Amino acid sequence: MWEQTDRVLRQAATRIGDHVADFLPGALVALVLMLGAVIVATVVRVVLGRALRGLEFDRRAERLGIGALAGWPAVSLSETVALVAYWTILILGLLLGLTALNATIPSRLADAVFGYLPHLIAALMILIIGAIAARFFARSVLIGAVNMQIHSARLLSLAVKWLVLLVSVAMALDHLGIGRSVLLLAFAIFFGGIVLAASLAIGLGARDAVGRAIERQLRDPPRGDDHVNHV
Amino acid sequence: MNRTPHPDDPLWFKDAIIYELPVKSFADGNGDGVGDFQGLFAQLDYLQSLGVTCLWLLPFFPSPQRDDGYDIADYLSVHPHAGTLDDVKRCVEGAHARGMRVVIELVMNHTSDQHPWFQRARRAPPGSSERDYYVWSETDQRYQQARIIFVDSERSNWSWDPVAQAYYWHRFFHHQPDLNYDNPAVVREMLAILDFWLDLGVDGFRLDAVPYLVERDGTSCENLPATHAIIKAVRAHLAVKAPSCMLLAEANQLPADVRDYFGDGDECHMAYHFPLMPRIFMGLHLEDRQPITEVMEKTPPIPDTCQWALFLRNHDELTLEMVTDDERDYMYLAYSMNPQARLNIGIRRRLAPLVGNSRQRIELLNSLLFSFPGTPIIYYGDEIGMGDNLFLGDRNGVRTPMQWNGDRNAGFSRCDPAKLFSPVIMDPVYGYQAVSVESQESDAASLLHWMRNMIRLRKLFKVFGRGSIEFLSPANRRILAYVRRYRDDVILCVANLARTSQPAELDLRAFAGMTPVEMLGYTEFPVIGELPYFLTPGPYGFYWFELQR
Amino acid sequence: MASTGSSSSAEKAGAPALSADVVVALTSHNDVRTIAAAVRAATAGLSRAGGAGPVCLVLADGGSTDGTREAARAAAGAGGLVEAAFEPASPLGELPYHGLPGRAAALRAVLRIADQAGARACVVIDARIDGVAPDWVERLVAPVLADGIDYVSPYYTRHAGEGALTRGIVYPMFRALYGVRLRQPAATEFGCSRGLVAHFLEQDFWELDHAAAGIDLRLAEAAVAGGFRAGEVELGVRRVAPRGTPVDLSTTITQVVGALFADLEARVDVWQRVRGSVALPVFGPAAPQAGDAPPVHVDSLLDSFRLGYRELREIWTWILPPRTIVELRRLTEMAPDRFRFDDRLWAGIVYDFAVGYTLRVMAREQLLRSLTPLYSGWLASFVRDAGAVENAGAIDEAAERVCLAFEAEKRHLISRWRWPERLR
Repeated sequence: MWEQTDRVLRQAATRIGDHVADFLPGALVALVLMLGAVIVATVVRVVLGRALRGLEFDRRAERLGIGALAGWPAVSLSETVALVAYWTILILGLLLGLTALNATIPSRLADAVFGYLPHLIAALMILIIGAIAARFFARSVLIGAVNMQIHSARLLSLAVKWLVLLVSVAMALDHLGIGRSVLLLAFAIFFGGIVLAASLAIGLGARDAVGRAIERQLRDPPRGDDHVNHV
Repeated sequence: MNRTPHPDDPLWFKDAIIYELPVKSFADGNGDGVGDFQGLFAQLDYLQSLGVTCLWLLPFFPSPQRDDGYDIADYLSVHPHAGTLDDVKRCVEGAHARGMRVVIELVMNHTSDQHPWFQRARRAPPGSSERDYYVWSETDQRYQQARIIFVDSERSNWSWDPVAQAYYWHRFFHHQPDLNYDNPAVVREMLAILDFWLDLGVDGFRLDAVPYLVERDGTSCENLPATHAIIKAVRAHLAVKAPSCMLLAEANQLPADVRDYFGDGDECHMAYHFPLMPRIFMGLHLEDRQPITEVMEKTPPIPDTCQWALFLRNHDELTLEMVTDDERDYMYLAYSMNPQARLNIGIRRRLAPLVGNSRQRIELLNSLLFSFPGTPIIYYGDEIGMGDNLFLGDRNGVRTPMQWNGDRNAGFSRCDPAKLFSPVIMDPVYGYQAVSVESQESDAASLLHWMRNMIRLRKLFKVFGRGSIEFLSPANRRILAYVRRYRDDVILCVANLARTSQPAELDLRAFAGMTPVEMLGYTEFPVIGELPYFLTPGPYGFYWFELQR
Repeated sequence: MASTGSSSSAEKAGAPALSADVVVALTSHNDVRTIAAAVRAATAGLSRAGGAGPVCLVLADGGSTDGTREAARAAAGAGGLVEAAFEPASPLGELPYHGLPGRAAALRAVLRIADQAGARACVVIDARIDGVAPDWVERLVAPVLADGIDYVSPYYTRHAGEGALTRGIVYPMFRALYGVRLRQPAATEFGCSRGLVAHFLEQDFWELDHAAAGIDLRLAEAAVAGGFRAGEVELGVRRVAPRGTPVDLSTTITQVVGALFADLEARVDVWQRVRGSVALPVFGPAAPQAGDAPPVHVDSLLDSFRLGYRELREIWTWILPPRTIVELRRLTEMAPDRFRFDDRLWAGIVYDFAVGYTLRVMAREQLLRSLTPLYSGWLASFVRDAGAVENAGAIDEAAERVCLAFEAEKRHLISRWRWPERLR
């Protein structure tokens, strides 16, 4: 009886010992990894912050209109970027550490997050750049179209704006892997539809009008002031 | 667009707009609660947009900080709180890239008692060159005619050093022993320090407490010929090494004595006009131009290559040393009913609180600052009308953190508020919630915008920095009117020192046939004729006219 | 042979010791049709203009690919031509309105040659001009050598619809700013004195990218703002052979008006002191109008103005004060036959655009381009006013009215400049 109890206890102790022995190196490695992550994150934060300040990133960003878009007047943009980098590395380090513990769920989670994170950042950047570009191009197109005397200038500029916005949203979603095929299909249908509708309209409905317009283009010389030397 | 930020004009300081700032109080870049060069660098764009063309940085050297950095323990490096030499260099380069020059402090008269030179001197045997870096004496009875400057804290200019077993000489605090300029080694050391900072790109030096360099028996130990000889030597050294480097003398003396610091154009380029400042405030309170015209008439002419430095307020108290006893009493009664506001012989307040936070008075005073002959110096924070904190000791009440926005610590630092080197102003009138760069930036009618426009306007006309001045004498003494001339430019300035509208009849017969064009709005006024020219400036109103043919 | 022995031998030696009294430079870019005639005319003109002293003909070619250089060499004969070496402009970017990419670099190279040669007079002529007469060189040089003029600008006789950007914006604003009635400051021809060559080379705009297109205008500004004596010389009619595809109107506006606006900040202490304006000495007899006026489609200009108002109104509100916008609306509602663009309204608009440009209220390129429909509206009104009676007197009168409006409105520019309030 005693012996049995003793054996069972011993076995249990050995098992626990084994488990601990199994677990300990992993935990140690995890600890080291996390510590390393903290150090690396801090270093990156400081270095990145200094580098961005040195490059006068804030001033440049403000000129591009990113600063206003970000909308944190209290915290400078370079600081924000440095902070984001800091937390990203910290979280990655944590996940890496969990992987080292050989815990299945966290490790799978870590894998997924590792795979996903760059996409998330890229998607965000695409959206920001897209929004700025859309505004700028829309205005350029509007002015350009008006100067070319295209009467539907506003429509054109709106189209450009939404096109740029949509493309950037689509690119962002594509990066995130959300509804990839649906998105592709939707775009194909959308653009295809527009082109088809336009060609049908020209071919069937407005055949004569288009013909006349082209004829006029060929017959009439371009507008007089194109020849005039303005300077 | 500033395409030629650094034309090599050796007289650049005549057209400059100087902005005085303590690095410690301006902006904190690393979040330790103390302003630093990183923070300053980040705010250079703000300074450029304000339009100033020169930065004057208060001391940022390693120091025990018992006299706000004027007690220097090492001239060749930077206080750890302020950053590193590389940070300074980057700031100087950044300022140059934005068309701004940088002037730093050169405290020649004394060091901190923590400076290695002093530590070495007190242990060196008497008579050795090391010992003679400072002024020692067996007795505290020498130089008895020298006055005591910090009457509130020092009883004698001599203090006993138990290590050296001798008295050492100090014109300021007892922890600031005076250097001995009779020792050639000291002069050599100072020139080496000058070269060090010149190599770093600095464009000028403010020579602190310059009248007290040399001591002689039976004199007041101020403005001595030997002191002038030292300054001449420094200038001669500069003439070879950096001809466009500017020396600004801090000599709190009567204008006739200050005049000597210009030499024949071979000593300092600039010197402060100390007596003007209290008299402008006095004239404003008396609603009488006489104190102002009187001091300007007593101001001696200076060489063509020299310039007065003008200021309304600075980092020290509004000093009343250079006025008569009656005037001093009047000033105390007028501007410091609160005895807490008094310090030594002066009033320790900022511009806005001094004039009761009246925008009209602030604008009038600034219009005088910008239109009097000399280079204006703006004290940091005065461009937004910052307040002060009388509950902080010494002059710290006017050195509180710059108010950038309404966020934590006024946007000065991201640190824990308890870590700040000095509390920010928080009262309901001047507090950072009410007064800040950000809020004034978004308010088109704010003082900041007004200052920016005035600076821009002043920079258009060299006559303000370089022209002559003559005062008109209208019968109404509440009207201050003067004419500035430089080459073809003639500018007429009229200011009403009273709180009510005043009539001004100006005798402008010398300019008959010319048209006054109001400069701020470019509005033409009626042509000047033979009759007195009649104007009615409103309360504290001022006009600047270009007289055009 | 215009070139002396010393200059031709110097050319072979790499031109370190070139010396000439008069330097004439032709700027060219794919001008094979006109270059030979231009070189012959310049050579003939040089031999007459130079008198006894040594002279030199310089070709500044901006990377022609159609054999312009060869044609020029053939026309000049052996050793008669010094070719200016400079970095041709990169093929990227928009073509400038005068069709010579890298014109700034070309002119700089020419001026350097003239400076090194110690020339007393330097003349630049654009080789795309069809019908350069030999006496052009003489006329551009004579005021410099004989009359002590530093900057000689040509004056060409032009129809109402021609050179309207010069008549409607550049000349009036230039005149109001600098107080000098230089009628065609953006012309691609000029003559200048030795002192002015040195002054030009000291200017700091050479390296700026955006200076390249409007370099002629900026040189005129540098000359006038620097206090040099300017004069005009009548050169008759200027026929231009097109260089590549013509540059569209809004690009031309960007380049020319941009050059005018860009110098405002740098020369502020000059133009804010100038009041009124003085006439310049004009040399040579006035040339009569020649050739048919090019057709100007007023209706299409008006269309473009109305379209601009409808679509760009929102952008204009960033730049123009509300009163101006209201007046523009009134204009769009006017019947075409009663359409009249007030000169002072026009002057105010141009000045407001100048202030907006300086304060960077929006991207500068966009701001300048959005001026195009307004210019169309003004041009329609101007052509109707002056062009109805095709005579030089009527055109000059109408142009003078515009100038006076610019001079009268200058105070508006100065006051806004000195005390800029937020534009919106």
